[in-house]
Amino acid sequence: MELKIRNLRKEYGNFPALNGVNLDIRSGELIALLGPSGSGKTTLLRAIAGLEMPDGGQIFFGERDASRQSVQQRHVGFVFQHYALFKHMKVLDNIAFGMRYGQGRRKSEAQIRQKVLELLDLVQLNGLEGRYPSQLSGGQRQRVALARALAIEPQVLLLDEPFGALDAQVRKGLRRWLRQIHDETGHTTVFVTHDQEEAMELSDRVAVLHKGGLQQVGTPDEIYDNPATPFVYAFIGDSTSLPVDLRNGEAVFEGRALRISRVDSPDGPGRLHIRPQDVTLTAPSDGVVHGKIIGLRRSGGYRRADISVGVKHDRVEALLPPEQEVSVGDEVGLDFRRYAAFAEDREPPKLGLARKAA
Amino acid sequence: MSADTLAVAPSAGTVAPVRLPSPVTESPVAKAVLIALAVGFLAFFLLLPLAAVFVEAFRKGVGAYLESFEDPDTLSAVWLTVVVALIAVPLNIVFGLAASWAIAKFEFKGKSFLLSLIDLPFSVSPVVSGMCYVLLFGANGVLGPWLAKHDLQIIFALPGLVLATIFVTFPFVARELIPLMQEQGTSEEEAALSLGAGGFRTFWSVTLPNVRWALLYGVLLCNARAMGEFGAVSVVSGHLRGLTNTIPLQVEILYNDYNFVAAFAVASVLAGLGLVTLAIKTGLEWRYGDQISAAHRH
Repeated sequence: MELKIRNLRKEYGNFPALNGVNLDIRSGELIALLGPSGSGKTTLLRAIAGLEMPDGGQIFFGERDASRQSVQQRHVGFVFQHYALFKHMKVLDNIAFGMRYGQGRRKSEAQIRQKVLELLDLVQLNGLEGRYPSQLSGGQRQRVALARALAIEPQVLLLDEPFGALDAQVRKGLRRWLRQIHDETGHTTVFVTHDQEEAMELSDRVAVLHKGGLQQVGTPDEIYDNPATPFVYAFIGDSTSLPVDLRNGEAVFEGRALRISRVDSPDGPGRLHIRPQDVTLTAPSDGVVHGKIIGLRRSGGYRRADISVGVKHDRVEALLPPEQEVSVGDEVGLDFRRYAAFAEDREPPKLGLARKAA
Repeated sequence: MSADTLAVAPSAGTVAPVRLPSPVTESPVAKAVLIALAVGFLAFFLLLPLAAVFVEAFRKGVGAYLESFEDPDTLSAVWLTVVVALIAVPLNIVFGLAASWAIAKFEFKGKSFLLSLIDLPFSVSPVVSGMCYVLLFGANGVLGPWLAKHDLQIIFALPGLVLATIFVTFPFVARELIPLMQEQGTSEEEAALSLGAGGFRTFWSVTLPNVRWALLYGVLLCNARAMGEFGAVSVVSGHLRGLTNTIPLQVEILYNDYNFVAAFAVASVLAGLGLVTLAIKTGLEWRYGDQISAAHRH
């Protein structure tokens, strides 16, 4: 089932949760809605499900305009962040709920039981049909919630922060497992997350949302390697930025010009965004930009260097191999392997590395 | 950590631990005094009067006690009380469920106003609420002439008793359910809807089972109050013997007639109802504390 979202708008009071979102979701793909809290990602997911009625815009399920359909009619599988299992029902009754009371054709109890056991097998919870949700671990509850959503044979599977409430170990296992289930069942799957690692690892495509608007949609590689907006640059992965003047396809930082491939017209003040791993340190006389190391930190297999650059002491972060011999106070030159500049981008992003500096 | 500390550490375990009192605990003497004060207070103000009710009721033996219930006026009072409770309690269940459902699961204007309105019967004297009904429905009341024309009797009759009882027991069910429903949120209902269930099915299979013990708890308190209410009922009843007297009013009448054994015998029924209510309530709190409401958790 292919989903088309057209100019979707939703406001809570005066706060725009969705600001005219357009998004095409391909049949059978696993797509992540990624954004910080308040970006509108959950509102978008709930609007697709019909749990939230948008103020404007349309949602198409294939050719069918679902915008005015009720949540029951849309026939979507929805997995809630905190599972929302029916506490007073056993696992079997939880999974059977949609088959018993839903919109589909009535099944006999024997058929229902059969289907429940199949689903429990799919989610690897064989033998737990007689338990109550309170007797299950968080990961098990999440699997029951998924089995319950799959039981109504939905056209679309929607998951709201599916792993948000689980600890890191369980989360990684379930992530791989969800991908497996997706590949086996072939549902069009949309999931919401604020965890970029989860989004990048799990999904075919990622839709990045910010302040109710779509910033970029693309494969994890596209999103990471070619961020379309300053926000995506800052939100996905690490980056620091420098104030520059954009002139004729060049970004000028304190009199030194850097050639830029992607010019985001018009000319004028903007910012240059660089990822720490794209910064190389050279002799002070060589680099395009000069600076002084003001801090060194160990970070996994690398070292991170804070470098103060230019007369205004802008901060650039570099990821260095641990064997590179540098120390705090060294004067260094900087070369940038990859970077992007955006016009009309004055303030450093209030996210990630840039925020830590403030 | 240095090698020295490692070597010393095991020997530390062999020294008998000195048990220091917890800094937030009182001395044993203070504890005993506080407990004695509380128990003494309860015994004097609660247990003693309660015991007195039963002692007085059985003062002339079991025979006299049972005879008290052969009085037709008393019997009709018991019957009337049951009828009033049977009407008022179910109506309050319906109202309580509706109000708490609306308040806990939806956002609307005037929500906090509705919440304080539900609490009104707690803050208004029952006598005043009884008076309101008299002013509204009584012979000289606002609706009095119209009611008289249509031959409808509300005050000094069963409808008045029911109305007054509903008013004073208004908050009991709703107050139990609102905090619980608010805490539970709407995600289970949303899950049921997304699975295709209709509104009524969702309420019946998901919402109601989630609040059943809290509902029972509220109903219990509501019933105890409905049967025991004196003030409001007293104003609208008119004290017609054998017709509009509920148990509490009958107790007063018997007492004023110097019929002490009968008065205390009837009172012992109410006291017994209170004790049973208390026992079931405690049982519910103990067994289903986590499903009642945050306020009653231990």
